[in-house]
Amino acid sequence: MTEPSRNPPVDLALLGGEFYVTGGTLRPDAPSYVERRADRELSESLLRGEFCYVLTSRQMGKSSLMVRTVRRLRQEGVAVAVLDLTAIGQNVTLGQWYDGLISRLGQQLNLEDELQSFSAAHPEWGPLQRWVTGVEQVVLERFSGKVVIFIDEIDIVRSLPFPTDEFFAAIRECYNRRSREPAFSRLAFGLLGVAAPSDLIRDTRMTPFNIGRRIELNDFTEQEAAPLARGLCADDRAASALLARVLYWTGGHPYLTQRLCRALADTVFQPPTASTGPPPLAPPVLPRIGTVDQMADKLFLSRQARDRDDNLIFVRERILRSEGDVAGLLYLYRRIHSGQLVPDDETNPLVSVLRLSGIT
Amino acid sequence: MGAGDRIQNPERPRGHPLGLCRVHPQRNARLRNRKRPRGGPAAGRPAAVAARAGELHRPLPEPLASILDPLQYFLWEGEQDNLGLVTELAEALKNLPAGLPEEPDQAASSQRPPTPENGESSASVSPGLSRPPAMEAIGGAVPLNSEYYIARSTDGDFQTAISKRDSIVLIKGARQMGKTSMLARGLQHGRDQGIKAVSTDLQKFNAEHFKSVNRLYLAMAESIADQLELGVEPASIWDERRGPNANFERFLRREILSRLQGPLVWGMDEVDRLFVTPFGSEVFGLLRSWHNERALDPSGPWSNLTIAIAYATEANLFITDINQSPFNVGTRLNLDDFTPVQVAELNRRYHNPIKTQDDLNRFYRLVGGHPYLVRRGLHELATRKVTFEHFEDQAARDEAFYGDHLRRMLVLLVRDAELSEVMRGVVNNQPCPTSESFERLRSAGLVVGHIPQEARPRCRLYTMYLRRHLK
Repeated sequence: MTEPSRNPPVDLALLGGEFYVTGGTLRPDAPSYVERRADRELSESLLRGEFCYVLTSRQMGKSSLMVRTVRRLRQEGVAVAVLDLTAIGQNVTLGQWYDGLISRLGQQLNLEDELQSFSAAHPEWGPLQRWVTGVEQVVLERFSGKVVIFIDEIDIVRSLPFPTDEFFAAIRECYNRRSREPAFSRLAFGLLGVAAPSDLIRDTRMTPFNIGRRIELNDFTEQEAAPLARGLCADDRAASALLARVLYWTGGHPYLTQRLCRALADTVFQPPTASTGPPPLAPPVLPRIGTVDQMADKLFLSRQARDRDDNLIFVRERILRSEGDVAGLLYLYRRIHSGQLVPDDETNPLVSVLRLSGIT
Repeated sequence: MGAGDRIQNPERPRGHPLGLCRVHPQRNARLRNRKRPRGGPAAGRPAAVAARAGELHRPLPEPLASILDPLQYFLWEGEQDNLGLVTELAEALKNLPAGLPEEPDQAASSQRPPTPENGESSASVSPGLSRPPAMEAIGGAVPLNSEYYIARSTDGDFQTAISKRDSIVLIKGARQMGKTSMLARGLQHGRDQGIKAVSTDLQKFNAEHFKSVNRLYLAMAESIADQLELGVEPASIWDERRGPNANFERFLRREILSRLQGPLVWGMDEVDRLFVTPFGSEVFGLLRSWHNERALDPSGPWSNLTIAIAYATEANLFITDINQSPFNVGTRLNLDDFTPVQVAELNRRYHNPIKTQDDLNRFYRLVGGHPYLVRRGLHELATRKVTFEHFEDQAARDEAFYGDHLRRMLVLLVRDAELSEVMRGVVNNQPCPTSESFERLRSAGLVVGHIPQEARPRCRLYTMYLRRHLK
């Protein structure tokens, strides 16, 4: 079972679960980051100046994708700002919210004081105008190259005490102005969140979503997931066999895949306990395919899992506590589950609830 | 050790039975009701050095008690203690001019329910020990220098997380599982490594502070600024034109992190108070955004901040949405019960008030490994010198030593009629009917087991008590 390793040595500190990340954003240099088609698509589209949005269910790796893209864009010399809407909050007035956007934009681009004095110099303007003009006259003025503004956790706008249609309309306006004002061609927006475009803005005449590019963030393919094998064990062939079994269970779902890999790695590199004595010098015993099955069963299918696993709980809550027609939702899912094809109709709210829950 | 059970100075140098402490009037119901002890400190300075000889097991008579009880004093049992007494006296006198450490509010004190039983007991001492261990208050945080602190694996995990500068550490467990004590030790571990550490106990905030998210942030900011002594006045920086999140974020980033230029650990205790506010998710959202910020800019200010969040899972008894978890990010530490080995070790440190292995097993069955119940029980046995049979007999009584704990549990439980009904079933050997009720009872520390069908009361004490009270 324990063939000598022909692999380059893996940093042992990263083994035993540390290699994998379950929950939260992966650092841009995380060894378990899995590159997907969306990685290239997002950075290339933004470099072309397109309006992009990644609207998908939770734990699909949106934030990690964003962090990687930010790094790549910065390496290309792009000025990048990330405006995380949870940081701005919900118990705010319309004025405070836009000021929050301006302030975060300033922080991220090292223009905090400039933007602040610019806002202060124009008290006669409304908050939205201060935001748009600040971008135009301070940010695009300061940077002669490309500027990308990410807006993360965009679904927060639904919990704000004021309407935000204007905010989206203003993004669209930035794209419309390109023909007249070339500076705007250097500006691109990227939006990320757990929502359907129609949840964010109702008015189809003002929406930017029909002029932008939807970036699909899909589950890991077998090929994409290959780097994950490295954390499982040192033997290449054994590791990819294990990984194939992991993917059999998770279908490549990013969180579930990392979760199962992490649990497997933990069984291999378990710190020695008093009963097992000092750490053996021999390579640890490799998990078998059967271990993957047992582990998957314990993590995702046992009774405890129903109440413990973040992702499973999230899916359940999103479906069962959704505002709409729960029976219709379950009926639709039953059809999909039994193998029938259902049209992916963006205007059907049930389809979008199923998609955003991550279940389909 | 006399009234050591109601005074604590968590940072008292180890091994000074003559520790002299500021009296904390709010810490104890009995103290609250009487005047500041005569000769007692007006500004936190000790004014008396005390030793006690003879009749060590009996409470002091008034008016002596009210003067001396708030102080921790040396016990003199016979000639063998002469040398110890003189040494300690000399030590204490030598240290006086420099001043004893001010009681750090953050270290361990929180307003826990008092344990009135303690007030009556003068500690006993095992014969032959020249310097008997000080008896300590049971309930609330275990002092940093305590001989009675049993480190669990989570202590090590927490300290590692602090050394590694994790961004968010969640410490969760039911009430009285030792969260506050572990938090204090983790922060101290950080300080020992030169990491700045502050802590904010949300239990100390009043209703006014929870009126709005803005008030809360301001109170948190003041708590942090105070402890770091940077001379920053949050209220003067707060700009009403900004939103609450923006103000707090800006304060931490510009006034704290950029000034410190080094790592900071911020411990937040009793965070479950936030769960019942309308802005809880907003606060958690802000903290999570800092976590994400680190990934974006690993060399930025937020990489210097570790936030340790301790919260009691009892909240699940009255929060019906079980999934209201503050985070899906960060390092999660779940406090476990003591193992039988740990209980035996604690018994040893109390000088074996439980004499036989058989009694030790019975004790373990009675209270499980519940940290508070174990410690309270051993304290009781050690100070009262009662037989184990007597102890066992008294344990589930309302008026006895576990009374406060048991009543509080009952009060929380009966708020929810449905859950009470489920629990009544469980103490009568029935399973939990739903996984939701099971999960709520389990996280509240009332039942154990892996699945609803296997639910059983956490310990025999609970079975005994609840069988009588849930009829």
